[in-house]
Amino acid sequence: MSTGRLLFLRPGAPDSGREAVFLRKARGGDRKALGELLAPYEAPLFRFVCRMLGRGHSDAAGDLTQEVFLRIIGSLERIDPARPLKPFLYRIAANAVVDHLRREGRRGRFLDRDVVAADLTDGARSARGKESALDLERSLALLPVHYQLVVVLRFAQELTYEDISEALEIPVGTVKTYLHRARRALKRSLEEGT
Amino acid sequence: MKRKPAVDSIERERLIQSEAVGDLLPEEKDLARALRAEDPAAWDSDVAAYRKLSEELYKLSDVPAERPRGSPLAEALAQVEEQESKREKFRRQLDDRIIRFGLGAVAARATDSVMKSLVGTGVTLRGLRRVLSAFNSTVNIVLFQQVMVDAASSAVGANRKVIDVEGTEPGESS
Repeated sequence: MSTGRLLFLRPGAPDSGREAVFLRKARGGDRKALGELLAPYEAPLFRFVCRMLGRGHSDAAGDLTQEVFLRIIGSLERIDPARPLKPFLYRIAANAVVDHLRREGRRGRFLDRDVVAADLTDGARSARGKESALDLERSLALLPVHYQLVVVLRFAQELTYEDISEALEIPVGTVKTYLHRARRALKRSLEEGT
Repeated sequence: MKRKPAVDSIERERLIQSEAVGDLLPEEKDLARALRAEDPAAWDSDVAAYRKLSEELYKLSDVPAERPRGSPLAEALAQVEEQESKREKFRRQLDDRIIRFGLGAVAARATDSVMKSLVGTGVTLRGLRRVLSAFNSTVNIVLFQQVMVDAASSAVGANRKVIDVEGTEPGESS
């Protein structure tokens, strides 16, 4: 990947009316509109991919995010303008992540303990806070990938149950069940670690 | 005497989690209250533990994000641009005769991966190879395939008559 500037144009909740206009123009071949449509999602999707690959893999995450955007651009015709765009984008990203992990022969996130520990020292957290965050990262990395997906989408990306349901193409009840099981597993894992 | 609610440990834990994250449904509140009444200290302690876990999980979004070396979106857009410009250039190089020839190479059965990917487009590997050899340059097969697929789609829509030759060049017998 060559260098460039990350396009943090419009963070926050995008306007669906604007998105519909950008989408229509993008489908007509308007490259600028395509950039406007996708730019607000660049940073969140990159963070999501980073979270799923594990820290210390930002280069791989950058490449994979690029692949995600190529898939999205190739799927423009499949986007339903009447539905929210965000879950569709996360669906493509989640599929790309799962494909990537499968290609790499990894069941879930790869956790580089040293990288995580070094990263956590940058924050303003207390020593205890850093330790518990590291424990949480470690426990999260041990979960099956579909549990990791719902946890990361819910807590790190702050998607609603409905958006997660649409993104992963599973019923809302299943999202809640996965979250419930994931939290139970995390709680147990953290208790065993203390 | 009040009967103990018939709830297994999994359901109990689900209710505790729901209370911790504020997801308890109105119809579950009475049941949760009854369960708590059995052992308030244990219930409250579990709720507190899950509440703390949720708080920690939400901090996942607080950690300073890593940055990619460039912009994945800008890179993807540039890649698409480049690909389209190549396709357009290549499309311009294809004259009607070559398109007709490629379309005319109708596959009865696909026998390899390239042909399989072209099933339904009316283009065969044999046809592709012959077109490529007629085309005096080294051509990216994937690019060529995309162009042929596009050409086939539009040509079929415009004029079905082009798909009437069975793998033969016009004027040549098979």
